Amino acid sequence: MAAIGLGLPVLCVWLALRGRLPASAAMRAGLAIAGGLGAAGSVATVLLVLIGRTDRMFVAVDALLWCSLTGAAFLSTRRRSVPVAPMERPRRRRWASAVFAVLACVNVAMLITGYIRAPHGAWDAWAIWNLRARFLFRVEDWHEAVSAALVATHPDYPLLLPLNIARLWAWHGGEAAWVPALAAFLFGVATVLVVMGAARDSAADGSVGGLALLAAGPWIWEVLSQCADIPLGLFFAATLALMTNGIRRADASLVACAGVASSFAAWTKNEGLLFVVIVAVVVLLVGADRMPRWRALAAWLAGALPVLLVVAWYKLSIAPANDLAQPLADAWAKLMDPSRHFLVVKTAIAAAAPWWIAAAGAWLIAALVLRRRWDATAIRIAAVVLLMLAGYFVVYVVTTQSLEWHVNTSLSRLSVQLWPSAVLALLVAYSGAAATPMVPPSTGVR
Amino acid sequence: LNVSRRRDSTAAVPASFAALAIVVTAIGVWRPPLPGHDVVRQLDREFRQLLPHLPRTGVVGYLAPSEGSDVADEQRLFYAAQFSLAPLVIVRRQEPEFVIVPRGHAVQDDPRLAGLFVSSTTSAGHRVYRRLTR
Repeated sequence: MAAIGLGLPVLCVWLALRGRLPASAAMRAGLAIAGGLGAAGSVATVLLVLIGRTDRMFVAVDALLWCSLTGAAFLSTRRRSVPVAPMERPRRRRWASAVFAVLACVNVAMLITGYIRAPHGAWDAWAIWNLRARFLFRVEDWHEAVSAALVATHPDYPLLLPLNIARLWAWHGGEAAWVPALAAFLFGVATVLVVMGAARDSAADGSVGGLALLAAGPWIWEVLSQCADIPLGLFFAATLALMTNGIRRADASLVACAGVASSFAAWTKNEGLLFVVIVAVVVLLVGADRMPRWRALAAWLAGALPVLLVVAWYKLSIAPANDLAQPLADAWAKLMDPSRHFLVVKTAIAAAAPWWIAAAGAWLIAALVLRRRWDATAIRIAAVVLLMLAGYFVVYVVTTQSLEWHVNTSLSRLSVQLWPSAVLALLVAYSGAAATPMVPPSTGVR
Repeated sequence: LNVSRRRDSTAAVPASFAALAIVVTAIGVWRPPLPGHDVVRQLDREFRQLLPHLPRTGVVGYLAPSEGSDVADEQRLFYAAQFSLAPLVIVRRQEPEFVIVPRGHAVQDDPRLAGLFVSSTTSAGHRVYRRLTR
């Protein structure tokens, strides 16, 4: 039953995207998984508030809702013209595809054996995310799952991931350890598909994106952890892929989809809130190629608003205060202290694992090699990544925790969140996606 | 010709990422990123044995370690107890009626357990203490 509960929202989004996003099948599949899991988690929030617990009634209403939405998506797809796929350029660097295929198989095997060894994932997964899922699945009233008494387990964290797990457990009828592991795996696969799908020239170009993702060891190993950083990175990348495609094609519906994806990010982890602000700023300041800035922002906001309202309601009226919350004067004093800035840099350099240094080095070399091919689209994506890094830096400087401890325990996970978007920017420059229209003008996509 | 030159210069991009991805994958296979023995599954099983001796809901105390104990190990035990016993809320206090004392804690001389008696002990050595009068 969990497979049906998982498959219905993904199928619904897959059908909804048909004809709207004539990108590669990889991109569409990746976005379908991201959108399906994001929408399932968001809808589950509303149902949980209405019903109070993840019982049989919850499953029945959820099933009815997703069957209806999937049916509606199927019917609307039949009426929609499907654009002809753009002509692909001759395939180049097939060896990259071959290497990626082999490495992908080895990594999948590594993930399966990793699950067998540690089915509950890493510490933060079972102590925070899967714990919250257990609460949401076991409690009579969902408010108990986010009680302030659970302060040690961060009850203020957004609920998209734990709600997805609790929802699938409810469908399954029990707490199966493979459910969070499968969700983590799907989030990882979807990230690879979204990033690879950003390359328009050929499958071989997409494989470069896949190889770049796998080149960062902590990224692929984080899939095993079952934490929320891989889903967050997926929603970041999905937002940026949809946003750039939508703006380039002057398609407000795609920009609205980007808004939806960014709101899923905000409902996945607190860092998603920073991302939402930065995306809005970048849309407004960096500008659009073929779409007026205000129109792009309005479309993005229209997509983001429903789930952002849920996030705002949760943060303002349900969730206890975040452990980083502090008086503004304290934060300002820390921000003005140069020694804290120096300490963040020093600790971050020491904390960066060799894998991140190697991956970032390869990224920088590639960016230099491709320096003549960076266009507005790639720069816009890179700008978001750089601003996110700047935001994380400020959070470290003003942290209420021990600064060294905070940097040491979170730097790699924050890098995991941003790596897919960084690769996306590089791949857009590499494959010259921006130079190639997504759809030939004659196809007339509506 | 220009195209050929451009392709040659960009060949470094997939090559460098491919090389790095091969190394990372090899390391991942050789030295798996997560521990080989599943501590959490074992602790989950152990703490579940306490369930028949605890209330179905509410707040349950947890005896924080005395000085000198391994902090990481204690933290793991505490979070594992919470993970296992949800929706009970586990707090590091002794005021609730039921208090969990994890294994390895020398309780004989611990004044924090005054007024509490052993309600049950599991095969793994975890104990539930209960307040004498309430």
